[in-house]
Amino acid sequence: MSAGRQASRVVAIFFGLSALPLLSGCIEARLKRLEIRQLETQAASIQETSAYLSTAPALSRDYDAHLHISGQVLNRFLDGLDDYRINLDRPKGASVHIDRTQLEFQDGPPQLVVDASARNRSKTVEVKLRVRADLFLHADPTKGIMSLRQEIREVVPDVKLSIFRLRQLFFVGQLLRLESQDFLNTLPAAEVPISGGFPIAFTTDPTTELKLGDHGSLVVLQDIPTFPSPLQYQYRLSRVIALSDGLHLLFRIERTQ
Amino acid sequence: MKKKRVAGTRLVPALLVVPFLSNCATPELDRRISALRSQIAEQQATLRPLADPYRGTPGKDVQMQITSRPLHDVVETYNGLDDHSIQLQSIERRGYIAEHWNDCPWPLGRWGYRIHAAHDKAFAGVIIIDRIGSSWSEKDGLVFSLKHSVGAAGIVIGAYVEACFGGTDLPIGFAAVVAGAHSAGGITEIQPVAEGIQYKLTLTQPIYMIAYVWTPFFSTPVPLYFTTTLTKGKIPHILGREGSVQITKTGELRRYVLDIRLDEAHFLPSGLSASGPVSIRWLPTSTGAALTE
Repeated sequence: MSAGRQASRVVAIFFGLSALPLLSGCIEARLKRLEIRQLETQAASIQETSAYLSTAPALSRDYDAHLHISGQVLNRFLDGLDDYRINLDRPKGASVHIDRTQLEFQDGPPQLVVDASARNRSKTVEVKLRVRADLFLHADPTKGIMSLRQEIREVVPDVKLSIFRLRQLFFVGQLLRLESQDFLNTLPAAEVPISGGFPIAFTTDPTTELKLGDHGSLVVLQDIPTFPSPLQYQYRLSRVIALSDGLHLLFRIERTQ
Repeated sequence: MKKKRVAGTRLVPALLVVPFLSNCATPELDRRISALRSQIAEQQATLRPLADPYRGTPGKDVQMQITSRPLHDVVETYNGLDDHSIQLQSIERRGYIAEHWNDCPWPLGRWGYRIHAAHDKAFAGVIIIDRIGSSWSEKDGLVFSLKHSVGAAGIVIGAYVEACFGGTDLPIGFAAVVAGAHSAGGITEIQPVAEGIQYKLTLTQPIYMIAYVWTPFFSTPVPLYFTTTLTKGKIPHILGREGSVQITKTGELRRYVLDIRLDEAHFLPSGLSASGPVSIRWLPTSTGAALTE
């Protein structure tokens, strides 16, 4: 081995040794800060839900319809998001692979569990990732849908580093510099169909049976007055509550005709 | 030169990493995490009993509760109509009104009569309902009453007469029918169906009519009981049938169809409830436009 090459190798190892504790500590700190942000969001949401439920909201008084969708059904929706790929603009050629997305329900906001990994351009380095994502629910009764959208807020490498894996060190450093904006254009979403409105008509049977004494009857045509047009109602989502058994959607129903 | 370039390409990336390694782990972070976890555990303990009345039925994928207001609106809208009359016309006669038989000496048959409606269209009439009153019951749903219903009708009476040697049908009379009730009313029947909750407002306390039957050999008042399904319909579950999952911003879109089988429905103190399982059927993948908000 030439002297120059030996020297450059020594220098690289020296800087790697210097950087390694800092890099490992920094990753751990970012993971903990990520966890703190998730816990703070969770605490605020539980507080808000408790404040609302302590008023004992009642059907017909505080809401007109209550739809409960179990957590198992929602995770069956999210099974459709398994195994997809997000191409990153930087590091150039790198990609994030989302292997699985599931919701873990509890009393309070569900925890979005994302199994993901990042791969470099040449696919020679693969790093596991911890992903912080928020789940947004948006109802559009006119379109008849409720969308479940994940917005990735932060991605932190979850990796044990080695000074002998310089490519990994380098790649992790690049990942640490990623901002949430790098993921803003990679939004997976699920649409859950929700009816926007429904008609209620005054519908009668054309015939009925008229009992005649104890031994007979007459089948009669009956002309009961009906409405000229059905009554029309529209749903409007007013609140979403997450509990250990899934999502609870509260609606107001307004008569539109 | 080549050796310096090689050294540079190895050193620079490592050096670039260092400036970003600031603000790393501190014990305060661990304390903050521990405090937040304790706070959340306390909050969840407080939330649990508040949430219990709103939890879904175990084993049911979807459950819907809906206010009774649409059914009350149906009754009030009917009361607002100008026409409250119900026209009636028979299309089929069944059974008989009365009969009397005696045996003839052997080997002859029997003699006697059977009184019945003369033919399938023997009955015609009209009932007028002044107003429908209603209230809600957790047992029977919308409980309604027909206030001051009156009516008039007529029925052509016939008889089948046998006289030991054979029999014949004869139109023999007419019955005037009067109707009136101050206590006719009914309840709501509900049944879960795939699309939601099917409801029927059924008259269970009938409108009472009396037919004054007069024939040469048989005259008596005969009661008629008018019951009917006043109205019926479906309140849909809010969950629709077709949905989609978008894998990437553009490109692959996966569509699914929900198979909802509501199998249980019951009344609530102020509404109706239905629940059941949901299965998801994935349709063949296709590329398509991105989902838009």
